[in-house]
Amino acid sequence: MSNVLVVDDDVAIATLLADHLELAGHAVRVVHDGSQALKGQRANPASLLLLDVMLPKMSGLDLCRTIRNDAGPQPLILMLTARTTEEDSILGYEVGADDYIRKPFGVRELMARVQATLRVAERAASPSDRERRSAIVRGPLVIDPEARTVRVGSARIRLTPKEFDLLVHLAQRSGTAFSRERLLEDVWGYAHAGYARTIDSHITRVRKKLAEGGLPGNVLQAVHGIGYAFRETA
Amino acid sequence: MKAKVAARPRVARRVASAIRIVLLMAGIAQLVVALVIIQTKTAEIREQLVADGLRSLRLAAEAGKLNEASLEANFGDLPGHAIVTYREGGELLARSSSDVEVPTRLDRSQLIAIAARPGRPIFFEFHALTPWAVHGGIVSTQGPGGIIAVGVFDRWSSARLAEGLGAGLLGGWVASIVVAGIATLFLTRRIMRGLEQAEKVVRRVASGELGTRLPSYGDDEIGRLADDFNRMADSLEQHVESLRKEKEARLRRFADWTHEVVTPLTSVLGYLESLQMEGFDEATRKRYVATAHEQALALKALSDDLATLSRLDFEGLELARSPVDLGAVARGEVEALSAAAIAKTIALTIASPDCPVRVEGDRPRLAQVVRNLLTNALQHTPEGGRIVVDVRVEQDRALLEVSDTGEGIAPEQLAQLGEPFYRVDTSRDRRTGGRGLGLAVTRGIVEAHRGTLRIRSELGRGTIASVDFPMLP
Repeated sequence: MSNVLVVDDDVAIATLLADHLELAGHAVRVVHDGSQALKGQRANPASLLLLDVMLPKMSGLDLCRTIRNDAGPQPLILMLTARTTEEDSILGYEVGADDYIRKPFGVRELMARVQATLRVAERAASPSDRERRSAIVRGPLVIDPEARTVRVGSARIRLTPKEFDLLVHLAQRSGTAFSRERLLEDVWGYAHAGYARTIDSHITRVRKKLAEGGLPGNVLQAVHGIGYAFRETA
Repeated sequence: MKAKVAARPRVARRVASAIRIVLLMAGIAQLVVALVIIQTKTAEIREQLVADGLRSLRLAAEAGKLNEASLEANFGDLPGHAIVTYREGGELLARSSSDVEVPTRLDRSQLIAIAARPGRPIFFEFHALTPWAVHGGIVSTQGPGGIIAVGVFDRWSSARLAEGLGAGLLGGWVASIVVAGIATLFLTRRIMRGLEQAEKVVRRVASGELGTRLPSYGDDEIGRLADDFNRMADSLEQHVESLRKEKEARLRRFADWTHEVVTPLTSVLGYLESLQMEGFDEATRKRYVATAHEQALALKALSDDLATLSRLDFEGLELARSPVDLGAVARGEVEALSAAAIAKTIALTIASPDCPVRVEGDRPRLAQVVRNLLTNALQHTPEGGRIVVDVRVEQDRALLEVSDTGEGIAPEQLAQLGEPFYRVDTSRDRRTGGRGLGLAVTRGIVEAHRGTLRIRSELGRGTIASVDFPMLP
């Protein structure tokens, strides 16, 4: 069971989403505008946000960016978009969304995505897998899966949950090339055609954050015709 | 356009040769004029100089100081000059130098001329054996030894002057031709470069760089041509810009339309899909059917509005025109919405004159206008507020005003109001209803009736929407 915050100004859609999430056993709160959502999230953090892009008072993009700049545990954020131009904004402007889904979406498809996202997050957080919980040290880059922290030297790098999971997944299998579909499957828990750009935008953001933290070279390398691989720089 | 044919610079070459010809002709004319001036001027100057000398020589002759010996002794080494004395009958008596040709005999007319004006010299020139004319002046005198006239003839001065001036003039002329040539070359190059630059600019404009302009060439034919070209480029640029804006607006409207359709569609699909799933009780299922139906109706309303708008866009909205009492229409709509007003505890009142306010129009469409304005006011007026509808006649126009005590609209948003899908709350708060099409439809219908829609508003105080139509007599 997870805490889910549904943010959509369309009452009919918000209600329907809440019904399905409750049926799946989650604790759901519904708000209809951006500022209420921010207040709600700060007072009582949810682990997953279903966030409409076009919202009264504060847009979904601004809300996402604001939450990503907050200190403390970061929720998973799944954006709901009605236009392709909004997808550009979600992926391009570094608002830090973990994923997006296009309206009109099928309820089953949406629920499958939600469950997959939550399942992967839980698996990453479960203490059972001992091998995967030891720290990864690659030169100045230190990744601690237990504490979910990334450091370059002494500098702490702030990553969103999916950015972190993606980096860990690739770093633990250093040198192996993964296709975008495979990464979606492994890190997001599903592989739907047409969402491969999610991977590209996450890779770009992680690269940028690592570079800003002072990591020399590029550890997340594009493998032509395949996808991406983690490679230690000399 | 791409395959640049090396054009021969014909225009520039023609201009250059024309300039050269004009300069050459001007130079020749100048030379001729200068030579004529020199001829007359040198004579004048020399005569003045010689006149003074002659006066002294006359006195000297009268004093008996000009005999053959003294002439040679005193004036023999005067280069280019000869002092000469004549005796009775005009015959040569003595000369100071044999370097210069002198008349050996004065003729009758000369003798008469000097005798007529004693003491005033006369001047003449004659052609001796030298290629240059010899000039001289003579004056009458009365001296011992039968001297009757004394004269000064010079070769050197006039020859030198003419030679010097001639050489100077020729040099100057050659120099001016050279300067003119260089100037022509320079001018040609400038014109060529100007034309080349202009050609480049024209090509750039032609290839789509519409912001490029020709430089100013001043107020001549080329300048005017450049100005005209720039004006043409201006209007082209404006035209393209407006096309671009139009296209952008169309794309934006299309995206907005997609958004507006997708939202209720998501609900309809989502609720219908849920109805096929297990796990919901009967009450929930009933609610789902109702919501799906409601959202489908919202889609239908959207489609109606879009249909009206597109008909308005193509000016194909069919109006069944007949005389309509605007007051009666307004009263009907107020009546119809009074229940909704009461539910929101809003005081909705109407003031209309007793006599009919007659306009020509389509009654259901006019009713739609009033209804849209009222619905807008109801949506944006908080509970406990007030809405007043006022129908009256003002300056031969039938006027209908809907004023509310709502939240009002900021001035910068007021300008965009009535554009399709524009909503003051950019956030698109669905709970205040409205699809952003209402005002666009309203304005379209009003304008189809030759009316105008005006909206005045003050933030926090309320909004007044007014429409006016031509009155029927």
